[in-house]
Amino acid sequence: MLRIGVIGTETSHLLDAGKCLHGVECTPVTDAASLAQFDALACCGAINENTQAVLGAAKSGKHLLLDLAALKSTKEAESIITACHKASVSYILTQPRRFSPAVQAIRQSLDAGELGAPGLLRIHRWGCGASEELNSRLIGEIDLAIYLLQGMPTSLYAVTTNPNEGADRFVQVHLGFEGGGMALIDATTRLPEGDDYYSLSLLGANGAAYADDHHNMQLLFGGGSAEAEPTRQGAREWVEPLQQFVSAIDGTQQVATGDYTALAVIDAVLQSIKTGNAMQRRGDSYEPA
Amino acid sequence: MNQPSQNQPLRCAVLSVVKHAYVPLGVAAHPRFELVVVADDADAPDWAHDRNQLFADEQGIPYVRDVEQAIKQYDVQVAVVSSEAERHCALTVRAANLGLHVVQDKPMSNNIEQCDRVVEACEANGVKFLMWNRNFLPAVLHAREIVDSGRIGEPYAIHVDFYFAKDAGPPKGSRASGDPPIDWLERQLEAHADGSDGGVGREPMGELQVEGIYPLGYIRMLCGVEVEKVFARTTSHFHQAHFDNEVDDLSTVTLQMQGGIVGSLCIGRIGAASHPDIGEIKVHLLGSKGGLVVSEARPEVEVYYRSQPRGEFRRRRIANDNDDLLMQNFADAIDNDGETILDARAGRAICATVAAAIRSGRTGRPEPVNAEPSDAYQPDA
Repeated sequence: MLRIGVIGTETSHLLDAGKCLHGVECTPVTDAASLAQFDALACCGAINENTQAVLGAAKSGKHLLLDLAALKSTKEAESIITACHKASVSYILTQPRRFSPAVQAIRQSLDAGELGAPGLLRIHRWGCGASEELNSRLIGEIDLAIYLLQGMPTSLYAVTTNPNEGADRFVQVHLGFEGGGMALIDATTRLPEGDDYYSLSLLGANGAAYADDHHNMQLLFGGGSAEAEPTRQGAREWVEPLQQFVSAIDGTQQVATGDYTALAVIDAVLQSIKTGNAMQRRGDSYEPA
Repeated sequence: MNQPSQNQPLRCAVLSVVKHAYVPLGVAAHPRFELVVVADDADAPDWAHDRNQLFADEQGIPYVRDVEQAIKQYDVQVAVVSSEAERHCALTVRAANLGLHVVQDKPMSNNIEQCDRVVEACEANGVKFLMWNRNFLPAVLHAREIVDSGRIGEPYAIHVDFYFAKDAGPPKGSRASGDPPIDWLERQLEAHADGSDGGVGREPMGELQVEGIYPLGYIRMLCGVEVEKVFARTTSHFHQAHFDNEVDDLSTVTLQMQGGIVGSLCIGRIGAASHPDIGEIKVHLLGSKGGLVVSEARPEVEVYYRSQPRGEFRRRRIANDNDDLLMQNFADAIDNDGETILDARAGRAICATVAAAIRSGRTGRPEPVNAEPSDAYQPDA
């Protein structure tokens, strides 16, 4: 039995995914001392603990499954990768959003040529939580833009709201891509406690795809105004990454360790918000336009 | 100009009706307004005269090839302007200077200085101006009701995704080597057959210019603030005509508004294959107490039948009183010396936002919105 300790703000997703796999036991990590009982550590969502705990786990021989959204910078990602190499442990930086059923359906349609050249990716991602969670969700959506528009953004502009009113919990990111493609993402963690909302539209030269909670709502009548509940999609986002991780550990499958280029973009996003400048990609970095 | 008393019909001159006639038909449907004449300048092109005459015949009213003469001869109080966009403002100014109230088709203009002249002429002559819009669609009214009730608190972000699933001629990339670029006016004249000729005229116009007023009108109505700065990306992604004429058929705009409110507009003419109906049009609002997602098309009923023509919409909008409510709003403004839901200054502000977005799309940088009309008449305090 492979014992995997789970940390992060979205542990329930990973715990549910673990139930779908044989020979795997996923359990929340309660404290640093309990880490010793696990073979591997999985981070899902933002991690409240210092990243040092993750580095420590690698150095002590734990395999690592790391949600890209848990990281804050390219430098942080590379220090973890270096530690994993030194400790000869298996590691994967994963982007679970890529494995959501809706995104997979859209990617298949793109790859089949049904939609033509992608022109616009529009994402609304609304939820509740602290500002760290906003950053982690934004990284996931920027990664999706890179995945679906198949390249790094060549330009970006980012804004937030009135700095006196929760600016660190709302961000709007406007991305430009080679060939005229574009993405516009708005993300907030200022919703009241309750359901999240998600909407993704991809417009291509030949067609379009719409993945939308609004469309997938069911209605509940219990007196007063009707309530809308999103139809559940289970923990599919984490089943594939978890399976890849298990295969990497037991050596049954060579696995690519993950694309963390979204982290370079998030640095530029923060610069754009701070300076009010649009940013352009020059070489491997972003500079004011 | 003789002003009828309240509840008496206001006599209307249709000043050019060369595109899809939804505006004069919307005016005519309200009992307070009566179309009495169609008029245009004598030197308008033959195709314009043909369309004007056809509309006049359908309405059973005369067509006069002299605007000023028609206004005088038929004792009109209102002008309904539905010409090519590049003539909108000139016709409106002429009508306002003759004391007519004006209902004008969108866009206000593709030239901000012309919008300034409209503001000046309407205010100097004390006439009312209504920029045609969709602010009274049932879903938009419902959204306003929810915002006004305070259920989502103070708005801090508003987004409109406005995708028209219509074709605009052959797809981009279809022009064979050696073939000439598509002529914009010719393409728009062809588009008259299916009513998608909102950009008719000699000057090419992208979707931001042709349709941007609708979503920007929603944003104005729901948040009540001016746009101060924009960042935009624009491209010709779908249609050969837009590519050949270097205008956008797909644009994304980040809006930075008064009070720190942030917004976005994503707008495009995305092709008929890209949606089962007219398109995906949604308003997303975030406030201090929650969020709101509104599908602009609703309420709808869905109708399917054997041998249904491919181009026929399966979902049909119902309970849509937009046209009637717009004209009632216009009548009330005239009767009570009030403001219309989208007056000349508001139309000008929207035009300025669009102009700034087009500029930003070219420079790759955020651009300020040129907010104030220049040398506009300033009414006494």
